[in-house]
Amino acid sequence: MQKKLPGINIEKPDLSVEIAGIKMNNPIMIASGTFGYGTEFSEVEGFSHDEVGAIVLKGTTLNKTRGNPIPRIAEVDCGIINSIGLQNPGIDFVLKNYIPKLRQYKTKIILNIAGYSEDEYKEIAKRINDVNGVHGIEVNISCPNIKEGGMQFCLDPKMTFRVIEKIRGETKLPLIVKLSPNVTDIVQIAKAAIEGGADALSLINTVTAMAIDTKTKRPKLGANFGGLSGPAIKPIAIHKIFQTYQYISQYVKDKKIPLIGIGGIESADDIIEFILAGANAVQIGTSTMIYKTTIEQIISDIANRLSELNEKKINNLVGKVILNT
Amino acid sequence: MLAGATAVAVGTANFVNPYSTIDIINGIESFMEKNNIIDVKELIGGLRC
Repeated sequence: MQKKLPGINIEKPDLSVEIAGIKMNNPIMIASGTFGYGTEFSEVEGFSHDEVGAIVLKGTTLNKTRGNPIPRIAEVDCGIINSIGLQNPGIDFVLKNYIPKLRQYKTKIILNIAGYSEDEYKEIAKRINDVNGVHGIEVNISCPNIKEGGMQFCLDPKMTFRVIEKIRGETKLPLIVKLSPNVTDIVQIAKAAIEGGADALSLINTVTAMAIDTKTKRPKLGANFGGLSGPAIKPIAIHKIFQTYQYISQYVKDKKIPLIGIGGIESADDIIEFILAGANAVQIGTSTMIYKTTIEQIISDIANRLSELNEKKINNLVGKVILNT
Repeated sequence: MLAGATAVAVGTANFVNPYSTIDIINGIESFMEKNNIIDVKELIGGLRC
């Protein structure tokens, strides 16, 4: 049902979207690793968890992980390079201590999981079952910042298929697979993830990167290199979403696989750009650290942009880029 | 060069500033003077991880 704006005789555009059965009020999700476990941001004045469609929690592994040496973030032109190394308290701690605190919010909670082996991914998925308050799983098969595991799964279609199939066997929760841009052909990995049982795909993860301090001749990151995020990678992400969307709309007939766009988003216009390329929803990460604008502002801007485009439902714009011939 | 390059090519910056290559060459010279580097080749692969 569409609400009318007070005092204005136009219909408020419908911003609701559904990703693999996860119903969200709007297409804006918070990207994993930029929001901790959701409890920290409850202390930020003027921020409300319920403004966003969903929150993707920090990448969680089976066991507690200490992470990489500091510094873990380096600022570069139009973005940041990070190498956190999956620091997290382990799945049991997260399920016991953070998830119960997040149940009070209306927003959807998606747990991002990472592992060093197929069995580890499988075991984490198993432990999430029957936990009230987790609405979906995002599988990180593409973390550039760990020596073994993570990255390798996303580099090879066969390994992607096998790990996703194993996770699928353990869970009925909506399964989102997060893809890496650091591959020759992202479509091959997308295909393998879909065949393995993914309900949705999110892309892109960070782009491998390095920055060097010329005075000390040392890398700016403690782990020497890491992953680039922020506006610098937005056009890369737009292209990957476009390629993946084209593949899915042409070759995946029996199942509709929604896409979640990630990469340098900081305005309503960025979001609409991703949606036109083929995304059903988006994740915002790095820009929440800059705080140029608020999520509330972005949401009201999207509504205005939709009115300008004479579009009542945001869903109608998915993949509607008009290509030059 | 610290990362391993022997030379570099300047592209997009020429669109923004036609003098960019000249500015960059002057910039390397002053970097070398400041850091007591006599031969630019000293920089190649000079990164310390």
